[in-house]
Amino acid sequence: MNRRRVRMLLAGFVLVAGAASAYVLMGEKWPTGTNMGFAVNTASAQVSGQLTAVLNAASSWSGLNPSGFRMTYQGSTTIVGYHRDGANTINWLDQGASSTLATTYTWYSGGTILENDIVFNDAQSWSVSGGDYDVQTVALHEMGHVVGLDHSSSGIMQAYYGGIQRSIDADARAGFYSMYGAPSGGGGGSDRPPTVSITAPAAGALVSGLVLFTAAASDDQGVSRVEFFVNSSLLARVTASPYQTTWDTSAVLNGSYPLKAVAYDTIGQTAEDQIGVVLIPHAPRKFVGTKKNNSSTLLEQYINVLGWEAHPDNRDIQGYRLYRQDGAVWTLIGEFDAQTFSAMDKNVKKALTYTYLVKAVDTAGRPGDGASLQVKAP
Amino acid sequence: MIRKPVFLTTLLAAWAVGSAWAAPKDVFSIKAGAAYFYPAESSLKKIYGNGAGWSVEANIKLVSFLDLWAFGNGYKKNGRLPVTGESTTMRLATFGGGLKLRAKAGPLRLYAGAGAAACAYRESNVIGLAQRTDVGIIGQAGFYIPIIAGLLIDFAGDYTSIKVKPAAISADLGGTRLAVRLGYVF
Repeated sequence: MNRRRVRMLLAGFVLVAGAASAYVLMGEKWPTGTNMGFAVNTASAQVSGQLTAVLNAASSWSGLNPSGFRMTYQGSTTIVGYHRDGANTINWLDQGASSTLATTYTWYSGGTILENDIVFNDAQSWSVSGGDYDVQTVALHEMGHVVGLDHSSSGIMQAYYGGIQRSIDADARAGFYSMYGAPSGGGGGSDRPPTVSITAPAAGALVSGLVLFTAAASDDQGVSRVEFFVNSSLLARVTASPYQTTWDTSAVLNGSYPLKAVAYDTIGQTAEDQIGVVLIPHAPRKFVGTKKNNSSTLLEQYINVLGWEAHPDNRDIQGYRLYRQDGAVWTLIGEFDAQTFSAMDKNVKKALTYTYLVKAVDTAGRPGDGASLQVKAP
Repeated sequence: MIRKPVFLTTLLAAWAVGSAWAAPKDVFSIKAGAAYFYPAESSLKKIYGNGAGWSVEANIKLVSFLDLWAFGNGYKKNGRLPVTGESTTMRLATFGGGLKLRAKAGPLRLYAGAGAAACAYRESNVIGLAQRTDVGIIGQAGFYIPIIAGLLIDFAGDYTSIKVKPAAISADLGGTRLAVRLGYVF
């Protein structure tokens, strides 16, 4: 068994377009038809979102001809560095201020690859949002080594980082096909893309509290994961049905939010569904009340004096509505502007207990969650 | 220090001159003046407070030491409800009568009596209106000094107790009243 180490380096030069280019094979490859599992250790990485970038890169290679070779994400790992342990891992390790961006370690026997570990240099500055060094670009390059490609003079497999390139160029693709075959029909394979549909909440729904976010996803070859996004931020990644998560809105500003579900199949093809929902105002806080005697000398009057505070995560509030429970019915007993945080309910009975509800109302006239309160006899 | 002897001296002189100039038979007297009312009811005191009002009285001699006595006095004040601060008004008109014992002590005509009192009250505010007349008792003591030609000045204090309950709340609309009145005795 042997070990090979190939690295991607910082940009030293970039070959000009039109220069002679041809893929270069390492000489070792995975057996045709391999579904290579891999794990990712993101604990030491300096940016969030790197897992998505790595999975996107893996999907690109897997999508070339999944029946010839593909990679499947098997979850997270705590392994750091490179080890001949039978596990294909991707991790971040501080390798110092060298010119190395990432290194792929390959163990092979004869012409057959046995294991790969990819180590990103955590001493470099990484980005997933368009800055240098782009995680997905470097992952795509290193995974080219994983499948058996060596450095070439251009494209994704060139040895030096030349900027963001998140797709496999024709040269590298040709190298892949030479090892694992081309898909029938000339590309893309027969695997159809997945489908996904958000099943809850409903589009345009008014939501609050803990929001159940569910999606129905399907694929002819199987769904590998569904990612749930709120306002473009990843909320959860679910790898098995039922595809659902919970959005905790308790500390989220009220207002409109886009919700998106993205389904991935086993070769990285995606489908997405997006809806808009409205997070209604949060319930006012510190809702308190006491019964007070407002009687004159001969005329009796008891008043329930109520007070509340604005919720810090409410915005665009036009006012408050105060309700009193009369039997099974909530009766609106007062509307107040956004700067009013107290009210009096006059002519209440001295010996009775009253239940109140106060709601913030946004500028679109939507009442929010209510804070409730019981005022008992003094 | 100087005024008091002067005042007393003036009163004594007026009494002496009055007695000499006209000698009323002292069978009937009327008095009118001002009174200051100290309510007994704590809520009345808290919302409206003490206050001045009017006071009238008439006496008819029955026997040498006993008068039949009738009176009336009034009190009106505005106040604020305790929680909401809204305005409220209380009017009290107390009237009634009784018997008084009387005696002479030099220039002073002393008296003390008791009787029945009725209070016509009216409290109005945003809560509503309480308006009725209820009865109670009154005790009074005081004295007057003849000044001249039947004129007199009267000093009196009375205590009334008039318990009422026009609706849910019961209260005593009586209290202590101090009055200063001018009068005429026939």
